[in-house]
Amino acid sequence: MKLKIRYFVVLTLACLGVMSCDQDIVLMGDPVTKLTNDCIKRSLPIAPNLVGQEIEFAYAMALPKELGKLASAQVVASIPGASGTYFDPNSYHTNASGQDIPVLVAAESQTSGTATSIQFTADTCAATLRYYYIIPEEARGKEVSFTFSAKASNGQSVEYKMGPYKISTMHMTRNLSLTPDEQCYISFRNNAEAAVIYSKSQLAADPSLASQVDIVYGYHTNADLSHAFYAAGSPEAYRPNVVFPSGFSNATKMIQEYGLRDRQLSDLQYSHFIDDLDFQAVNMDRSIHHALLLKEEAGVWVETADGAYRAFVFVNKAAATGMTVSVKRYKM
Amino acid sequence: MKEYSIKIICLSLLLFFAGACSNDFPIDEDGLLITDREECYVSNFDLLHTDGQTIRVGNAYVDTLAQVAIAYVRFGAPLTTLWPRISLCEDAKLTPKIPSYNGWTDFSGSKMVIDFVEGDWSSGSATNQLSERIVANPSSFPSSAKRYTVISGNRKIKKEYTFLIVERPLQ
Repeated sequence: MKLKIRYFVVLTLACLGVMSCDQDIVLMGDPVTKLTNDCIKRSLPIAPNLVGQEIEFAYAMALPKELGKLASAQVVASIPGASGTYFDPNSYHTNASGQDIPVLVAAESQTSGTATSIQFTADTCAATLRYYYIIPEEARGKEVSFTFSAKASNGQSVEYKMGPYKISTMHMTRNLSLTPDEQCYISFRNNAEAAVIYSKSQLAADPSLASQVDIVYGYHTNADLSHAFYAAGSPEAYRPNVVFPSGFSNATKMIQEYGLRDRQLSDLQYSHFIDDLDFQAVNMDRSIHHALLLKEEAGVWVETADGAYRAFVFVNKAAATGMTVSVKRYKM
Repeated sequence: MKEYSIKIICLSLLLFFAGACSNDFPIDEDGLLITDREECYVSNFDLLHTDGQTIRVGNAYVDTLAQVAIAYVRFGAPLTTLWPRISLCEDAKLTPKIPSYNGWTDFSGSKMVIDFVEGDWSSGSATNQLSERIVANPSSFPSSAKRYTVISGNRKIKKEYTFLIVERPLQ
């Protein structure tokens, strides 16, 4: 009886083994028989694209070894990139400790007009190139799209479209230094810069500049005042020894913030972003005309007296000698 | 004998569950339990600036007999847009409510103007001498001072508190 059962089990197993060996090996996908490509945007998708900053892509292309090698790659942007737009001639791979290792595969890239192209010098059938697009002034407030393409030695070519990507309207100016005795007047009305600092001597030489000034910076050793921003309309009791320039009448609106740490303003730390939409949405009803006790990582939402501009001022550094601030500004 | 004891245990468990399901405490219009607590007081008072940081210096002074809460704030702190934080005793609630969204409130009417005398301030914080002098003179309270009513856990006792703000001299 027992022997019969064992015999039966062995027979079944043997049958099963024969059955499973019956099938042919099948590929998961179709075999690659031609030049193919893929592309990703390496810059954070949530980060606003600011004029003067870069957008980074990784463009991968490959073909089977027996068909040939890579010949060239090209990107056409819908708006020509600013100077500094280029293809990195290195192909990168990641080693076991997670570091990017470059391998030189191509000659320096050439940019003319909207097109950036690169010729392969290494005998390779697969490469991933990085493309850095420096956002030009012409693209402000517009959309940019990219067409990547690659050619192989056997004459095959491929194309990959990326975008469109929205370019922010706002301006950004980083690391402006303020000092309480000299560099103490901030203006948000410059066409090219998010903020401009005027000095006391500049105002003395040209008193008409006073109409451009939006905020006067002051520093007190008092624990209640410390680093402070003042606009016309701030109570005199709160700004001892801070003298407004004659003709200064801009009642700039301010809302104090703390811990709103924009990644682009704070030198690539943290992961908050202030975009065009935030300037449109911020409710300035809570504003007053002064901001006291500013410290590192504090910030101030600003609206100019005429309502033409809104800005966010982020405090990078605050010391007894002055402050370093970075500004994003949006034209309403 | 054994069967009998199992029956008793089952029956008592059933009774126990039935008892646990009965509602002892009713619920008020805000969905909060009406309990039997009779305490009705403010335990703390704080004010937040637009940057989310407190503008208070030292501790708040709460007099539960005079029904007054005083926050001493730093010099220059803006009072027009503040988010109040009022702590209450257990099960009590506040009316009018402080909204959980956009609770910015204008507290400029609560600002007390008072002449300071020697000993009112000690290293930037108010002393009890100042607090007691303010509370002892209710006629000096600004008429526009913010008032909130505390309602006790049993919803039967209501006490209206006056909330005052005193700006410290420049430090």
